[in-house]
Amino acid sequence: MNIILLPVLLLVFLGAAFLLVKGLIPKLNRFITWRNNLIFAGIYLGLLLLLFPVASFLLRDGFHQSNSDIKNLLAVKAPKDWTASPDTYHLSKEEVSDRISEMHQSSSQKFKVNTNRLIIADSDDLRNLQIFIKRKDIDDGEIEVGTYISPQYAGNIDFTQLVLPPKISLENGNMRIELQSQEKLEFKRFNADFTINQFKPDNWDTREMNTVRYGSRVVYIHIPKSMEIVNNGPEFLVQMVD
Amino acid sequence: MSLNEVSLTAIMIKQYLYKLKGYSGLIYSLIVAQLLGLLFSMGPRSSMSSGNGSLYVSMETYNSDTLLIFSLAWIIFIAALLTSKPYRSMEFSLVSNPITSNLSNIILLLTFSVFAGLTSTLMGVLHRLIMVFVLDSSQFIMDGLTLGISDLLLGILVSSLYLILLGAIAYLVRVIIEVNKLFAIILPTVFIGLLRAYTQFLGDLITFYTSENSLGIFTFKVLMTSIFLFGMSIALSYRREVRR
Repeated sequence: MNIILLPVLLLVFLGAAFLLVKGLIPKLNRFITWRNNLIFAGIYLGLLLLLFPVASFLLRDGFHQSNSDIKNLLAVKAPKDWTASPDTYHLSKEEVSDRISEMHQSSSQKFKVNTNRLIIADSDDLRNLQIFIKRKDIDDGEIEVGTYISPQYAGNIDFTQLVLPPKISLENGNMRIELQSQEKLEFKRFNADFTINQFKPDNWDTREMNTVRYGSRVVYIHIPKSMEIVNNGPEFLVQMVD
Repeated sequence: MSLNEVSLTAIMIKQYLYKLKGYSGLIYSLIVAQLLGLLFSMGPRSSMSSGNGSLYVSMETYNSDTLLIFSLAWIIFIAALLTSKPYRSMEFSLVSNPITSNLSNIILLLTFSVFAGLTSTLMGVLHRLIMVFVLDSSQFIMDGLTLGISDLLLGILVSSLYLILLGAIAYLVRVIIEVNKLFAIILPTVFIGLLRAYTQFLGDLITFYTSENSLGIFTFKVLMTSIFLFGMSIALSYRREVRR
């Protein structure tokens, strides 16, 4: 509730109640005739009816500030995998090569290296990531890093593309992977009334609408053929792909 | 012996128009109820927030259901009011019998239900406009905000049907209580007893209507139930009058 609107509305109602109690009703009674009531009812209904075209105009796409950015995020249908389990996108090293294309690539970087050793520096952020390393067929002195993100949903809002990719830096053979701190994403939704939703079985159910699925984030690193890997993080975080 | 033969329908229509004029002031209470509903609809119906360490997502959901709930409460109040003694005394100046009296009340209740269904659904449009202009519209998801003409008509029809159903239930309850005041105690006791004995009873009863996805079947269910409930009310009123 808007912090200004609520007290104002409460004051209006309290004021109206006070006036009624203080004896406004007897005075108003002179005006309360069936004819006036009918006119008043007609005006009330008429004004509400007028609001419909006005609202249709004001809320139409592109007119109001409300925004194409968010509108474009709406999913018509959630991926089946996503509705089945939030862990579906937690990839195993056997399937990473095949399924990485289903994920959204949020960044890609290339690093020229002189050393033959890659040290993965430990960080708390690594616990939210899966790191896969694949050896290339050649020693080209280049490390290619791609960051991927699986579909992330809040209800039917696909915010995958709003998630910032992890920040990756390489210095003296030390690779540091850090998640970028992100402002919180706030959405407001206006649902249709239950009188309408009841007859729209295709609409997303309330439970789904109020669920956030973060999916997983993957860092996929291609290293030169003979490069040595030193993992300073927990053993399970870095997986070698054959 | 009267020289004029007046049909039942003519008397009923006269009574209806008379009552419509007499009760037209009730429109103000509906407007107050709907404004209160609007006030209570300003807050989010549900809110959810979640974070995974690096990302925090929050979502607030709004809808206009509260508006209809206030209108439903209003129609229950009106149905109870129509059969109350002070309001019944209005009929003394009219040619009347229990059937015409009840039928005119029922048509009046239907009129009020349709008006309340119409206005509460349209009030939902005002609610949407207020929300967009009062809250930070840049965060609004627009999919449910715009209301198409077909959804509007659907909302009006279904709201009106729910109002008619609730009105019929309240009218019957009130008539039963009028038959014998003891029912004012017995009915809630039986109802609470049923709820305790059969915990799913109320839930099943409500979902019989609310989980119906076909508009045609839903309309049929509501109309049949309402006709049955109104019929019961007329029968009970008739018995009461005959006994007197």
